[in-house]
Amino acid sequence: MKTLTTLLIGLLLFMVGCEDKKQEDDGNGYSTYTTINVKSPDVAEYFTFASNSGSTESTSDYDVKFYALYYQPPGAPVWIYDPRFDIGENVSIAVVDAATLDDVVDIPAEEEFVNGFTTADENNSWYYMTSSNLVMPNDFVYVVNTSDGKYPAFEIVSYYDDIGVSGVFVFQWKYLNN
Amino acid sequence: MINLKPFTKLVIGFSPILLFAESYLIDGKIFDADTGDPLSFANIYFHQTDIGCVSDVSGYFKMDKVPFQSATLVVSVIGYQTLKQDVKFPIKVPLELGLKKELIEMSSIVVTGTRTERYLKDVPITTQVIKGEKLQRMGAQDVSSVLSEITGIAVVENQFGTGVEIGGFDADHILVMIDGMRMIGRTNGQLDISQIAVDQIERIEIVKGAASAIYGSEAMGGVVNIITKQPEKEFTSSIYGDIGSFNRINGNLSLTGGLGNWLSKFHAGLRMYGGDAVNGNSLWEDGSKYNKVNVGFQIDGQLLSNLKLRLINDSFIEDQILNVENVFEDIVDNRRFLNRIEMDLQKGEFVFKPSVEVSHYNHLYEQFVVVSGYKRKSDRTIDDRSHVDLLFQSPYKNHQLNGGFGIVNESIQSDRITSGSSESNLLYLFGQDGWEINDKYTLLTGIRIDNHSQYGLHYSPKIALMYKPGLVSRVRFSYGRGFRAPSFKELYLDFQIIQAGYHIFGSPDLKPEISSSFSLDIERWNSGSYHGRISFFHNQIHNLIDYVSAGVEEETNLHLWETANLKRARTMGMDLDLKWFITSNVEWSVGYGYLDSWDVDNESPINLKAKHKLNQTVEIKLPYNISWNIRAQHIGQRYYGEEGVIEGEFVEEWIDDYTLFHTNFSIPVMNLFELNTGIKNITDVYDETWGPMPGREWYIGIKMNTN
Repeated sequence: MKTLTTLLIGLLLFMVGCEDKKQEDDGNGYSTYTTINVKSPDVAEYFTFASNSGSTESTSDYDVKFYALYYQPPGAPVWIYDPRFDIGENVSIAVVDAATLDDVVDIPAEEEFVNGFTTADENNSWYYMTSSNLVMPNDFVYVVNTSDGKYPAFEIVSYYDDIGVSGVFVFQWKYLNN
Repeated sequence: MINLKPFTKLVIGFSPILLFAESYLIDGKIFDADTGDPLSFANIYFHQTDIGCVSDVSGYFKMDKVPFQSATLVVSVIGYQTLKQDVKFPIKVPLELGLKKELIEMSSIVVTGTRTERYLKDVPITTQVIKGEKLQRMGAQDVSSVLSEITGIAVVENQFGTGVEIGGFDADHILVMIDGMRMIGRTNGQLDISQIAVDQIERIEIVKGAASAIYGSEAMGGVVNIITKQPEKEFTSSIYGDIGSFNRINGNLSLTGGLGNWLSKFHAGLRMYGGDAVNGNSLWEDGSKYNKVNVGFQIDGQLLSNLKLRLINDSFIEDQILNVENVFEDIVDNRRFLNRIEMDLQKGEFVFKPSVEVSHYNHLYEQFVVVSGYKRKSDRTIDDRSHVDLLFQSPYKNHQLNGGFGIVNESIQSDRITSGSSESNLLYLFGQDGWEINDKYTLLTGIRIDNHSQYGLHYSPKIALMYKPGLVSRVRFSYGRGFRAPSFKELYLDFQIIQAGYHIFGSPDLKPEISSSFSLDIERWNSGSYHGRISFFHNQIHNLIDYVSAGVEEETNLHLWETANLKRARTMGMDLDLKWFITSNVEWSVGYGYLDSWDVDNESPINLKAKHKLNQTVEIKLPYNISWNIRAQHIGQRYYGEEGVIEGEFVEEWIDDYTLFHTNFSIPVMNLFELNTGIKNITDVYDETWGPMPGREWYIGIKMNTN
């Protein structure tokens, strides 16, 4: 019975993971991707540009990991979600400030790429909170140097799904020419 | 020494006989020096005598058997500068006497401070008046933009609309009325005063400080009473329209006319704003698009010689769309309807005014997701109010007594309150005595007793003393106890903001907020050249209602907040107003407001109150009756502090001060049209977080009057 329950939960998680993902071409030649809702404890999506897909199964072979940390700030009476992303071990990333995806055409200089990037570092935060308590992306474009030597650039456009629920990363991305 | 006293007495005793030995005739016409219109009911008399008469409807007067050879003739009419002219008899041709309008209108009638009609200069409660014509010359499209330029008043804008603050009291402590009727439709405690278009306004009366002794709760910090134009017997029409930046369109039509003993007026107004060009992401009201429609009528009938009847209807419909960060679209639909019947019965000097008022307010808030159109939230608030009011007034010797009692029933249905609906009843009684002790002193005492189904009995006394050092100066002192009853939402709110991790509750056991207000006001004027006033005020407020942390909700892990009577606050300050007619064509006015507000519990200034506010206006009449003004408005730094995420943390900041400049031209065209154009916020100062918004605006409008 326990095995059956585990299988059913696994199947359910798999279906949820698959159904929530969306990949589309937005008409600008960019790919748009929507992650699963990461606002659940111990849930993350591991995304790879080469396949333009993500997985909820833990792996070390990924480009960007999207998740939300659920924690209680020191001294605060309430628990909050902090949406974050990290890059994989085999990739590096450069941040282009005050830019949109249209603006970024050239690959940034090599010295601008860093390894082990995480938005958990408050200097790297990708979003800000509005006075109406909305999570809004900063005007950053992230250029990733992937393990296959390509340079995808991505821009997070929203943290809300079609019914206005927060917890999904919606981003556009494109490859920059070498 | 020769004693002349008996001789003098003899001469004086016989003087009437001597004087009547020869008497003269004097006649003539009194008219408005600017327009040439005849002035009826003008008082015409000889200086330091009781010989006089009153002009007829054509402005004509005649006195015969005047027993002087020379004297000073005095002509006075309310609203005009008194004329003194030396005359010598015999006069062979009728006199033509033109009177100039008072530049400082201290003889206009006001009603708000005492709920009785009094001359502005004689009312013991300090009342400020802004005339309707002035509003148009300021290029104001709605009441909020006018009030923002008045000393001691702050206009605040947020997602619930535009509210007015007086003496440091928030918008939910200020009673806003139209023709003495309480405006319905407070959203989150605040009333959107930008609903009211200016073309309908005769004048605005402002009473600062506690007025609860007459008006009850809500009037804790003051009263703004918007008096609209009254119906006239002659058929008149007025059409006004203007366009401006950010796709602003304003239009107004008003018609008046009478038949027999009945007078009527009709008005319809449209105000549109396409504010998306400002900042679609801003939460400010001016950052959103809106359409506001206002339609109303009034019928006045003289049923009997001593009985008047008045029927009033006013309807207001507003649609507002606010784009929130391009993630959500908030749509607000407000509908407000007000109907009133009032009578005015006079028997001798006793006046009895019963009235019945029924108002309905329907507020619908919906939130949609921009990318999908999905309706994410929808909540409706319906507020119904019935009010029966019985007023009386009567003089008794040198006392002016007035009072009344009434019943108010109010019900609310809202998705945001516990159980979804609530109802309350209020019985009130008030009495007031205006005692003219002598020529110098007038004492006003009053008390109001409220018995409310939720918060029980409440007493609001007040006392005001007016001293007249001379004909053109006044000193007024007043003390009043004000109160504000907790709103339905403060009592019964049940609302979650999951994104922010909050769950907010009302507390049914809340008590009313209480204030003690003192004011001292010194005023001096000359009807032809200047007016000056300095007012000092001090308000102590107890039991202020605020939201306090109540821990974490176990099931949802949301932070609980509930309302409580915890805070104490103090506001004190000074308002200084000076107006000077440098010449008959140049008017200069300056106002300075100092406000020291203090949150006693947090030991910090009260949020978002500017300590200093300065206004300055220069208005010039140019040839061809063109009127031009330029206005400057400085708002000092504002404090903002709030609890941080971490317990015990307090985040504070001072918001920058700013200065705005506005200008307006009014140009009459062919005695039928008036062109109005100008620029607001010339230097384009704006701040999307703290205001002002929306930056520089131009406008051009035209008004057509027909008689």
